[in-house]
Amino acid sequence: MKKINLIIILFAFISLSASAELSINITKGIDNPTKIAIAPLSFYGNQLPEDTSRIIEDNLKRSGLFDPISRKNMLSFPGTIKDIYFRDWKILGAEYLVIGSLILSGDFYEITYSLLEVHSSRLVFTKIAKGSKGQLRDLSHHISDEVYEAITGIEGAFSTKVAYVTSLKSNNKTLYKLMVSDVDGARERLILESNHPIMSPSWSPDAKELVYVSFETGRPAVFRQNLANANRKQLTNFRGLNGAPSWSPDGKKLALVLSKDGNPEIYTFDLRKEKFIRHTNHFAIDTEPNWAPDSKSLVFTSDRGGSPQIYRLTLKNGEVQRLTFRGSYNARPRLASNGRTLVMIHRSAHQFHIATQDLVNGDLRILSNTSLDESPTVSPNSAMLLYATKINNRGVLAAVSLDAGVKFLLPSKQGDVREPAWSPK
Amino acid sequence: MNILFFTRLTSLILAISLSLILHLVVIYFLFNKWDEGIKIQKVSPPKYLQAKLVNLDEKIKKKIQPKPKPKPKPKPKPKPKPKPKKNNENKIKHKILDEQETKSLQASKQLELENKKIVSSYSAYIIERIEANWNRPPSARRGMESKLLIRLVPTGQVISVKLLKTSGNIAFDRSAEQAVYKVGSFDKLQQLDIQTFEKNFRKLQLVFKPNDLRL
Repeated sequence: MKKINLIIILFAFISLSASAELSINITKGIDNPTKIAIAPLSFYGNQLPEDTSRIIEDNLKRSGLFDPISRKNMLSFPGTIKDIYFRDWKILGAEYLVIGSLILSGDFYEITYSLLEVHSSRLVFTKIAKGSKGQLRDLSHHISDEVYEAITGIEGAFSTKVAYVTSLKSNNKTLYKLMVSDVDGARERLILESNHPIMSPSWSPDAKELVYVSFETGRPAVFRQNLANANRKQLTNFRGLNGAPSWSPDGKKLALVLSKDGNPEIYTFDLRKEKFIRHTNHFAIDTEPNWAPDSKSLVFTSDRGGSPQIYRLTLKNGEVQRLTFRGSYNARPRLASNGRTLVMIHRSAHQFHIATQDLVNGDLRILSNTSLDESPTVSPNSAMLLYATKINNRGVLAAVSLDAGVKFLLPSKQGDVREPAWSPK
Repeated sequence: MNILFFTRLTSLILAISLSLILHLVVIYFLFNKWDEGIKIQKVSPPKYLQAKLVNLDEKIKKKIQPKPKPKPKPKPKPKPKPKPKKNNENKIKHKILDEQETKSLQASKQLELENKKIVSSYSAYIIERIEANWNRPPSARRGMESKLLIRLVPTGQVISVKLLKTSGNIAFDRSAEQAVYKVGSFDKLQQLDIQTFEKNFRKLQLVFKPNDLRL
């Protein structure tokens, strides 16, 4: 009996203490960039060809979501978890710490890296990345992706590439180049060089090929080119406009604009059957098609309503629906991979800005404070976008985060840079 | 060999018997104490009133002094007393009790109100500290909600953080935990009297539910 009483009392205490906690609601935050320390990679042997930790640091900083701690302030460079003195990192204000060690086994680099929470002294993860000797940069981008995703909850996009067109004037002649580089601007590679304009590069979903418009035949034509072996193929040779190709996310089709029937209309081109299908039939100009992530509909620009506005075309039934209603000029639509954010050129107060429109709640936001902005392209993780703009009468690329919190310019080495296209994942 | 074993055994017997006796003594006291405790539980009604009576006295003291000791005393002292009083002076006490009952009820109400004020002002302090340290990830969206259980010691220091309910977004949960770890210590809680601390702030539930996000 006594025992039972005791047990009852004990239970009462337990249930009492379980329900008695004060509950406090936290509804606001500050959202400053996260302070992160990336300790230099520890390794034995010769100097590495790339400073991996520096690349990671620059990547994270450029995302605008991180504030890396300067290496010269670090009190130690731990290579393994047992070498970490969390107090040292707390003093520096670091919230997260990345450490890593590299070994060379045969012709392969193997990096063991860890992400740690400084304030709670907890390990978030330890992972291993392997790559050949030439892939140190790829490994750095991969580690950046992993760290970025763990902290932000968004897939990283540091391992992606950007295609763009440069033009350089000399001796009354303009030299056009189609280039591909890492998103940080490193490892620039020439894809095509021409004395005639090159326009509208668009990536295949596997990021192994590009389609673009070249004027080398004397009139605009759409070409498809493999990046690894430089094999290329001309896809269109119609009279008039052949332009604005856009590769569908399922890889099967291109959307493009042709004026072979007299008036610019939206077509799709089946890459396997090599067949064109016309989708719009309107006396107004229909142009700049771009695919929705599900490859079932397109967004495009049309002036059928009297001013350039953005419409959505459902391929199955040919239904056209107007999406933009604010302002007298909305053009060059790009749908982010989340399928919800529409990115476009929006004119307000006689200036052309990059703007986003949320297709669910209709929110319109102007992201850029430069003018004469053009050709926005969204990162595959829908976090950033690149666009072309003019600074001091020179064409440069600029980047802005989709929440407009981060803006920066990507300086070009020479000439004008235009028409960026962010590669898929 | 044999002698050695024998001597060892004798010494062991001594030790064993001693420890046995000690154990028995401890067990005896243990059960005796528990018996008393349970008996006290049975005479609960007068204890109830009596406790409040003492509270009133303490309350007057409280107004003059800060609140370091007020509550811890009343509970242990009044408990043993009610037994004799109930038996002997029951009738005389009754009238006084009735009068004082209303008074003590008012007083306890007021005390409760004051307590509430204290708790809410220190809760506000905790909210302020955490909000100043909560760095939400960009994947945070309106409608997400993480629930944490944190344990504090009277110095205000956080000694444990436990995720009770995930928001479904690991980065979001982590940001909430990080906010608490970043504060590390809610120093102002040292000003609280220990009773209030134990009752309200030893264990805390924190609900992270942003309402200032754009998306």
